[in-house]
Amino acid sequence: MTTIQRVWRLKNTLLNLLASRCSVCGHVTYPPKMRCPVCGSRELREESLPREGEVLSYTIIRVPAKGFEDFTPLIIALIKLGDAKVLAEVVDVKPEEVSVGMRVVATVRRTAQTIDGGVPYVIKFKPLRS
Amino acid sequence: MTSSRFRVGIVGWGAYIPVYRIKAKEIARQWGFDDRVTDSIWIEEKAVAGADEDTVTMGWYAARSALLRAGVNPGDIGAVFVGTESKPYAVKPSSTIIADALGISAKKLSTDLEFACRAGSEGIRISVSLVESGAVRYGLAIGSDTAQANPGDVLELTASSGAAAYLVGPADESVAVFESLVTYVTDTPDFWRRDGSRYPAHGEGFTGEPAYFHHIVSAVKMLMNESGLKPSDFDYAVFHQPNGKFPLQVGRMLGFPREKVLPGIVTPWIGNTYNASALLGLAKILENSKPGQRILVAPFGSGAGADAISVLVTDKVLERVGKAPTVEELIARKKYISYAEYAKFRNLIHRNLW
Repeated sequence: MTTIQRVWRLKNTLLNLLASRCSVCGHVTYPPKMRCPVCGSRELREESLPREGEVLSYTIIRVPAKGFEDFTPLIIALIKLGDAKVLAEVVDVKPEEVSVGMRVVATVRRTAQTIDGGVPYVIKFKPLRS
Repeated sequence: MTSSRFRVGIVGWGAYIPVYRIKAKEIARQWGFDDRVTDSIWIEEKAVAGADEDTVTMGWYAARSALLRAGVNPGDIGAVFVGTESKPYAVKPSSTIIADALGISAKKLSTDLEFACRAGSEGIRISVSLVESGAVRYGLAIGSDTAQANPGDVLELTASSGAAAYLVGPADESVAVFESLVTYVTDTPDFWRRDGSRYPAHGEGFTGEPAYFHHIVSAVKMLMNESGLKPSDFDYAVFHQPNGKFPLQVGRMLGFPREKVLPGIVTPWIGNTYNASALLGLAKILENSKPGQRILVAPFGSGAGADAISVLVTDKVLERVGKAPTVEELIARKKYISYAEYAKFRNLIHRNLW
């Protein structure tokens, strides 16, 4: 659970899929970091990730954290977006319809209400052809 | 009448229809209605927004498609309007959330509009005036709703979810130019929702004759009188669609043959998307139109009022159709759900949150 103010501080980064690319080793991290998690370099530049990608792996959550009951079952996938790997929810499909290699596209959706009653909007992914 | 002949037009348009559908007959059976009631108003199934969808998410999708088709820099958009009667926040604009998510500059007018089902078209009218006056280069008007209906009310057969967006701008960049726009509004208590009420109330048969038919007929006749146009001058006529039957009926009253009205009808397959209803019909027509064709669009909102808008299609339409999902594609991609799933998605089940 979070607050709507915390979501607001991150919204441009999250909604625009802003990532950091390491100028030394080339590793791309989303959300962006101050230091490269692979080589430790501080020489990073910001770039937007592509909005279309591919499911690398996924898991199904049937007993969710408090507040996420409306969205259960939750499909959480590791998605390859360009050179980055992004962990995000896949929507508009049933668990039996998800597959590794499925092409997906970013879309804006709401997620669990914040502790102060706000409505957070985040990036989720849906099948490219739906 | 605003006569913006050939100076202002539609630069881009976009649509959104949620993937989920429920059969109208399943809703009818849930509440013990006669099966024939769905045939009598011509409703087959309706679109249902998922649990994580609302006016903002659907409006964002439609607006993004409009921007993709237009190919304009979001920073050049000077006004954003969202017409809705299902705001996620009672106080806090939806328009600013959508605009920021689209990367539109902070230097803009931005507000949510409310006039039952025609607030989105009011947004188009305001955008036309702003562009025409030179106050802004582009204005974005969005109609988006997760329509509410009291469970068990006949309105539940049709009340659905969807969004449409129109980017209004200079005529020389447009896929269709505005010829004339008129609006006819009165105080008519046909449909309303009081502050704090979860669901709207309506005056049963009163929603038809003194409300829908009177206002649309009056607005369209006003447009004909002021512009000199007649039904035979139009290739298509699109009306607000609370169900499948009303638009055909009002078309007949105004002298439009069935074949000019049918192509713009979407409600029997997606339900009444309230603020997106007539605007989705217009989008479907644009996606199938040819340069030089003339379209009449007449949205209606309870309370009550109707607009009548005449647009002429330009040759730019052909190159922009394929840049975003079409209404027909969005209607065709669907997953059927049960009444129980629909009740969960639309928050009709009462449960303790903590």
